Amino acid sequence: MAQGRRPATVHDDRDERLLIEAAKRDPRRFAELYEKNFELIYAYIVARVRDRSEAQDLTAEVFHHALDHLPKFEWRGTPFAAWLYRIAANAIADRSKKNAREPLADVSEAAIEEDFERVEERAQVFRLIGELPEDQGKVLVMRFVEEQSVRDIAKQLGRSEGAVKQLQFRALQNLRDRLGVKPPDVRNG
Amino acid sequence: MAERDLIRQLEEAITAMLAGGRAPAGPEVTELLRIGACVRDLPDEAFRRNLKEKLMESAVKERQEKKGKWIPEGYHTVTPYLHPANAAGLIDFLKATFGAEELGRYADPGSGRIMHAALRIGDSMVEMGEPPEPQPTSLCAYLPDVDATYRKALEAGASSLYEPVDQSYGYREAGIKDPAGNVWFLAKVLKSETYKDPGVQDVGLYMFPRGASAYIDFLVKAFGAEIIGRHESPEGRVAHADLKIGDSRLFIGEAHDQWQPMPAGIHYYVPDVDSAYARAIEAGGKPMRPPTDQPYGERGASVADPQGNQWYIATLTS
Repeated sequence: MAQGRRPATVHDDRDERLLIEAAKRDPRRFAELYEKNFELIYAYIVARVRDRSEAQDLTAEVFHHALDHLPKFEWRGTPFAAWLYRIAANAIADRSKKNAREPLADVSEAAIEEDFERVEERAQVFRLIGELPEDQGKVLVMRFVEEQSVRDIAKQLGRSEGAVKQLQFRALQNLRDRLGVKPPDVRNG
Repeated sequence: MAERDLIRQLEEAITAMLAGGRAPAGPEVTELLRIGACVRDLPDEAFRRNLKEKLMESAVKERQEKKGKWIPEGYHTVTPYLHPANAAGLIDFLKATFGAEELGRYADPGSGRIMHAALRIGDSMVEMGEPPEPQPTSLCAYLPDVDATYRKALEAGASSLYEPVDQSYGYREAGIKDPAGNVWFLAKVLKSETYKDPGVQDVGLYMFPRGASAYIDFLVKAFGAEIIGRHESPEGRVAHADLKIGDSRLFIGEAHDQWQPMPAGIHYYVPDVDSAYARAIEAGGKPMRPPTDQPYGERGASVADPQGNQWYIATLTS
């Protein structure tokens, strides 16, 4: 079943607007905005800084800033995520300046827009990993995040190397299908 | 291409990617590899969870500021709540011994039973109510003159547990039992310009749990207690521990000899009753009453801890 991108609807807008209003009244409701946007913002940042610990620092900075400044946020029809992207872009630019190095990211509005789809797909992958069958998710984390070899993974899981290779293949196919990406025509592959 | 060839090609491409290179691959494998590359940046689950917790801490603080006061004037985080059979008699005793100031008492119009009373002793508050089953507890009071207070206590009807004595650990101390059966340690710091240690309130609870070490662990988990000091006997039992909860201190020593558990009532003010209640239950507290808005301007909940102490978790709502 494809659970990938879908266009924002009037209902999404209304729900998000209500959520923002609720969080302005009671900051504890910010938790829901965090849950909804964490993967997006982390995906946006990690693609630019390429360092896990720096990506974590910046993500924390963005959400703390957003929580502190939420009372000033005014709804103008753009998604809440766009506001968070702007905060993230500024935080990245500030950090580059502070560290006196080349800017890490093009933080113009156009660059943010252009990037949105790719970021959203990456965020979607982050969310979908947790929905995969347990063994598939586990193999992907061991292989791609922990960068373990197929041999080591096979040993730890008590399976053959062939089974692990097949599992990672199935897991990525599964992610692709859930993202709603059509497989290319295999006859040309 | 056969599936086994795709699987092999994918593995070669992944190995090359993780080594920072590229291996030739067809369109399907290239697409899968692109998705795999996204997985490499997967956020750490513990980081995600911790950040949410920190944000919620800030949010609760912000809410308090918005909401204003969550603790009544003059109160501290922890207030002993006594359960005497005769509250009026105990109030008289506390006035005569400690110069307590009565701030209010509320009696049941039908039975005349004192439902609730509040007194100020020095910089601390003490509360009480007459329950169906009275339950004495153990407390400590820091005083400028232990000997004088000890004499006043006996004159007001207390019995002596031990006379004033200079202890090797640097305090002048005496022990009394008040007419309601509560045990009081009267103490003054020796060789100091002040009569008590910094940050300690004039009146607090001194508990003698069985299994003090496990109980301290519970208090840390359930109420965020911070261990300020901990002294162990040569056999490894907790001889004296000093814990901080919010702005209040709680003293603990393993039950021994005549010092045995005397379950206490504790009025515990927090900014957020619901989350404090949930935390206490998660740590192993027994639910007594879930968070409820009370007509007297508080939201309150009750939890019994593993030692039978009753925690009345509260916040001001108006």
